[in-house]
Amino acid sequence: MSLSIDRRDAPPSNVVGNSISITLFTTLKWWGGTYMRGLLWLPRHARKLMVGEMDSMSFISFASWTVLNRPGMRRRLFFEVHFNGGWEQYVEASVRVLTRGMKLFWGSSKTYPGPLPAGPFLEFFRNHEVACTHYYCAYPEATVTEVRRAIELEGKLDAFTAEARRLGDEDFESHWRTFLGETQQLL
Amino acid sequence: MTSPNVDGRHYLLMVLAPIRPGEAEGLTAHLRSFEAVSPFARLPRTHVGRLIVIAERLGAPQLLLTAVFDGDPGSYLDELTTGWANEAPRLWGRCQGCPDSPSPAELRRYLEHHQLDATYFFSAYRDATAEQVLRALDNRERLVAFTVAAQTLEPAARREAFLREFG
Repeated sequence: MSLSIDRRDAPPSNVVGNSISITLFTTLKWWGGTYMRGLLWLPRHARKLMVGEMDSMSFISFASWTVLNRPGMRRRLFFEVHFNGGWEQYVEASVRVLTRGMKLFWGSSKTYPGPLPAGPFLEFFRNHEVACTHYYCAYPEATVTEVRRAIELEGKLDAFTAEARRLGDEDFESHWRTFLGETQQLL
Repeated sequence: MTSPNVDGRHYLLMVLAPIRPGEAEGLTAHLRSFEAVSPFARLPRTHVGRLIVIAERLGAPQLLLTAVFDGDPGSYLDELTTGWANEAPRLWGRCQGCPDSPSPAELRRYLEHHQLDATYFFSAYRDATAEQVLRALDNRERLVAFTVAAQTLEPAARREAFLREFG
């Protein structure tokens, strides 16, 4: 899934280049802390099963869930995500693709309205969001897809460069064309 | 067992510290002044970093630091506490329990004391360091430019130009 860049709906301080972050603090139900710890133990052992769909969406670079249980504070779920695209697009796409996962991840938070229709869920996100004060990204213009492609290309480029040193001009030409054909989708 | 703050080569550091009464506004203004030049840029292992003043959501105001970086947290904290020595009094020096002008060692102890452990952390390209990502993006851009420019070259010149650019 590829998303066009649309930053209009994110607070400006949550945006740097094409990278956007969301920070959420929700209040957990009485059983939410134990449940979330159990649930989030699973992807550490069955990554594909639990976060495979999120991984396949290719617009989330980093995400974390933290059960916050500090003295003097109500028990919270702290969620942080970095992605490229628009805020609303992110939430809507996540809901459409991850409907089952959304219920698993947010069902233990108070006032969670369910994933669909997306309107109330967008409202839930907005109501619990905290805007960034300062946001930094080392490669702000690159999308997740671009980073993944560049990393894959890097290995192929290294191998071709090593090969090119050993080749004569004519052999280089045929290998160059093959290399371009094989890497075209990564450029 | 691996720390829940780790995914591949990436570590997620999160520090939540209570802000002293009356300091949240000044702290917010100071963080906003980082817009042009981020102090995270001085920590080259950092992929993403954020500083957030949470004014109301958690009861008392809190300063939240989150950073995704490469490698172990101990050496990163050393780099942060020495590299940010000038900023520290205006950041955590405004937080409860932190000395006004903390030494790097005092600041490290303070940050470790207020660190949060993630319950789950996900990275989309967990085996690539920030340096590798930057180099790969740069090489990709150069390769695209080279492919266009090399179209008009003779085979011998193309090989020579390629090796000059990437060899």
